[in-house]
Amino acid sequence: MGSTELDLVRGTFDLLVLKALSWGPMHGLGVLRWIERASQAQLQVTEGALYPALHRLEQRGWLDAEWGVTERNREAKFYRLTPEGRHALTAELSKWTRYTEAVGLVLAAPRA
Amino acid sequence: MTARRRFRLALLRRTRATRLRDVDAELRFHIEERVDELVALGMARPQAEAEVRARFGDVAGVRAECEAIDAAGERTRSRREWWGAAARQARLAARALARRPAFALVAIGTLALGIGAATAVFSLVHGVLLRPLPFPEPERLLAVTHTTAVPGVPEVQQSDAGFLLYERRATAFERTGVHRATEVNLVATAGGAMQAERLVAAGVSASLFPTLRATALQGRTFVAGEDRRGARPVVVLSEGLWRRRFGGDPSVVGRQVVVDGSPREVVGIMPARFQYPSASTQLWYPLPFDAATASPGNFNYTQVARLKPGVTPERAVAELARILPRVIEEYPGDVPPAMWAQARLAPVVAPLREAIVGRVRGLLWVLLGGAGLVLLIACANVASLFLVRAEEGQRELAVRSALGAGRAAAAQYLAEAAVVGVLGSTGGVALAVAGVRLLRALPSGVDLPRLSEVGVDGPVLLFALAAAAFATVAASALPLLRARGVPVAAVLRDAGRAATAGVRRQSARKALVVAQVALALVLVAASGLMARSFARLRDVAPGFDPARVLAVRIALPPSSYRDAASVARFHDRLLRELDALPGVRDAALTSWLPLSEDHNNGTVFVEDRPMVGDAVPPVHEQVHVSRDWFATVGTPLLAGRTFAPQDPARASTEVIVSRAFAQRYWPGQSAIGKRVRAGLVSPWLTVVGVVGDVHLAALDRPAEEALYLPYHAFERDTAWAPTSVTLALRAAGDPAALVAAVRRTVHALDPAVPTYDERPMADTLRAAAARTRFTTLLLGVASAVALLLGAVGMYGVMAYGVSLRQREIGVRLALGARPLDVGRMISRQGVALAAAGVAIGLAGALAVTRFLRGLLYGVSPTDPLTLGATCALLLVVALLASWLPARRAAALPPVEALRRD
Repeated sequence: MGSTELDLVRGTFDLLVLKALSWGPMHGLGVLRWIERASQAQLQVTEGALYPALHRLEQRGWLDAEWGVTERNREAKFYRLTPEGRHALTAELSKWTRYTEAVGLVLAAPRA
Repeated sequence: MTARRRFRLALLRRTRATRLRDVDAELRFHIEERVDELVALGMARPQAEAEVRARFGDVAGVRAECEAIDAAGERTRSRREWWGAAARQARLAARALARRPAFALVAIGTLALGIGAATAVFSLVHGVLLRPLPFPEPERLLAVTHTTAVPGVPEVQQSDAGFLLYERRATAFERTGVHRATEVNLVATAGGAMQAERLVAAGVSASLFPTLRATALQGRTFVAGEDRRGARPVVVLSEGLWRRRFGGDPSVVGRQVVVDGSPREVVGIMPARFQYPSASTQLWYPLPFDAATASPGNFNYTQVARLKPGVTPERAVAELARILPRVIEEYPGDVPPAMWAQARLAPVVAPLREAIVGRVRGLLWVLLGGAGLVLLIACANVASLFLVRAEEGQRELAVRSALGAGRAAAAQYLAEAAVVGVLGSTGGVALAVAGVRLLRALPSGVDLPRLSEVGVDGPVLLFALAAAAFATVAASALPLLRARGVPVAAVLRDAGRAATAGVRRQSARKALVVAQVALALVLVAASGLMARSFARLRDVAPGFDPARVLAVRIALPPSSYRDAASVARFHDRLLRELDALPGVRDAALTSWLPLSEDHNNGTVFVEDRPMVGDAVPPVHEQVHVSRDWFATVGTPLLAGRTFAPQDPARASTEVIVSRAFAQRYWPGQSAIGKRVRAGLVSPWLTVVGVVGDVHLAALDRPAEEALYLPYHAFERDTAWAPTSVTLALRAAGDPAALVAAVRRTVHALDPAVPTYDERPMADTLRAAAARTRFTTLLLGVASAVALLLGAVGMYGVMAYGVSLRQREIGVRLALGARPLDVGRMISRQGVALAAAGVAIGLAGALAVTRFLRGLLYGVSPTDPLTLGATCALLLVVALLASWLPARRAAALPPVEALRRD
């Protein structure tokens, strides 16, 4: 497993997590479910990878965490975007858009 | 989301265990939810659990990873917060200091002074004493000398025979080499008509450079065999000489230069950092060593040796002691074996660095001690300033402590001290840089070895940093300790009655003042002792009269003045022509200018004191002079006459002795007509005159028992006369005005003879006391600073004490006390403090000044006069420093005094 590949995956994954939380506070499982639902079950997130990502983003100051109680009365750790997180999401989104556009241009380009 | 547990506040102080518990709870929730989902879909619980865990992956790994991420994040954050807090604290402190510019400036300036002085002197100590020699593996380099049993000759260097023996036989050494400092005349090109230049040079064995592991900048150093008789003549130049005389032209290597009249090929250039044997050495040439003529008694060489790895100096000495007796068998020379045995030579080794810096070690440590005392006094002063700050802020501190913000208040004091420390040490380093530049430029007259290596560099900055840290802690610790020790309630209660409480709290400041006075006394006593030594040294009658005497050195190239007669003829003609110069009263020459380094001594046999058996003959100073020498330099002729006029081609058998010499051998008799021999094979010489004693070698040593020989005395069979001599001219007016005329005269006689080192005799005399003067000057500056700081500290304590007692003073004045009584009452306290400091300082001075012993002349380290005067001076300063605030207090109208508080 090359490190660039991992970084790319991780970076993309971070973006998805931030996007998920942009709708409001969620616990880890909520984030997972939202991504699965939003991608119409096409993106299968490795559950083990989700939590390190959440913790990393929290330590970076993009997420804030609070303990709360779910509807079924279970204690869970809820994550929320911080203002810095929201900025980061915007920046990452535009980067991602430029990236996909550029890749699209290349793939659609005729033979020179 | 009810029952929220706030998480962030606790974040900074979470332990690994709590972090893991949190991660566990988070993951457990995830897994249990998943399992419930599957169970709700109809799966049996055990299968559901297995399924969820399989999908999740490595739970333990994820758990550890999350904990590690949290830990790292928390560390970064707490570090950032700490620095942020420190910066905030520093800004606050800087602002607080800016509100009291006088306090800040005095504190910073005082610290800068203390740290600057200590750092400047430490850079000297470090550069000269502590830094390893600039050679590879310098710890294996030794200086080899010998002790002897000959009366008056405790130590000798190495002989050519001894060197050859050790080089062949000693197995403890990897390499060994010898050198001999000389001066040579250099003409840049063979056959060129360039004016000759006199240079400090070193004759060396070919093994010297490999022993030091020094390599050339250009070309090479010497190779084995180049130091044997008959080898091709070669020379190595210093980088400085190469750049100055040859413009740094690399093609100089391979060219011929003329050294002392003989052409030599330049084979290499040594880099500027190679300064051995001394910083002034400008060229090196191989000495010829010849086993056939080597003599064990010819101690003219300085030896260095590099120990083999793993060999101890002790083992080396033991080996040398074992092989040394063979020297007389292998290289018999002209020393009778029995006399050799009597001399009982024993080898001694010392680290080379010690040998190089030995002379100035004591001086430098004393200076560092002095600078250290100034630093301590400065710290005490700043601590004292901070104590006042702390006392003024005591109430605020107490209030804040009561509110639970004691730590924050304490941090602010520390921050203020740190800001003062940082600014003070920055100023101190700047002062040190300037100070080192000054020290290096100062015409100290003290030939500090390795001075060019001295500078404010890494280790010195580290020292400054340590000094600053020490000063900061010292300045802030006392107020902090005191602030912690005072019960909050007491301070708040006392706040309304600041007077009494303040007086009680003054004790720490009083202790600091006592310490300052004590430290200053040690310094002032030391510099007082040095000043008295200097005065004593100036009072020493040198045995000559330096007024209006000019000394000029000249050297004849041995290649063109091969025999004593030609040397004598040149000198005779020169003296005649100099005598005829307008403005010259007398002209004479000597082989040994008093108080210069021309040292020459040898064995002396006295006819009516025959040696018993093979006893070692005594050694006495021997000086070659022209007839008019004594009259020219003003040394009185006490008996007999001076030398008779002489045919330069014939040997003289006349000798003149000093009064001390005559008294030693013929006490109560006339010395005239007695006979002595200067060396075993010299003819008998008849004493024709007795002259006054002269301090030849040094002012702080007794005047020598010396023999004066005519400068064209012939020794042994070979005619010999000194080719390097010093001319002395007594001028009618200013001696310095004669320099140009003397140069012209010498040059007209022979353009290849350089004149150099022209200076009035009075300068030579002044230089003889240079070390004492230098030490006196530096310690004097240090004690002036110490006195000033001590006085400021005392004044501060008294003034503050008076301000606290203003009300009490007002009451006393209102009740009819006279201002004089009040003033007396206040200054009595100051004097009591000073007296305590003086008592402690006196004990300290008695303990410390014995380190000065090696630097003192004619004064005991416990000289009661100096110590008494020092104590009196400090008491007077203290009286002044406490009288001023007292007078001001007493002059205040009582009503005014009562209103204040």
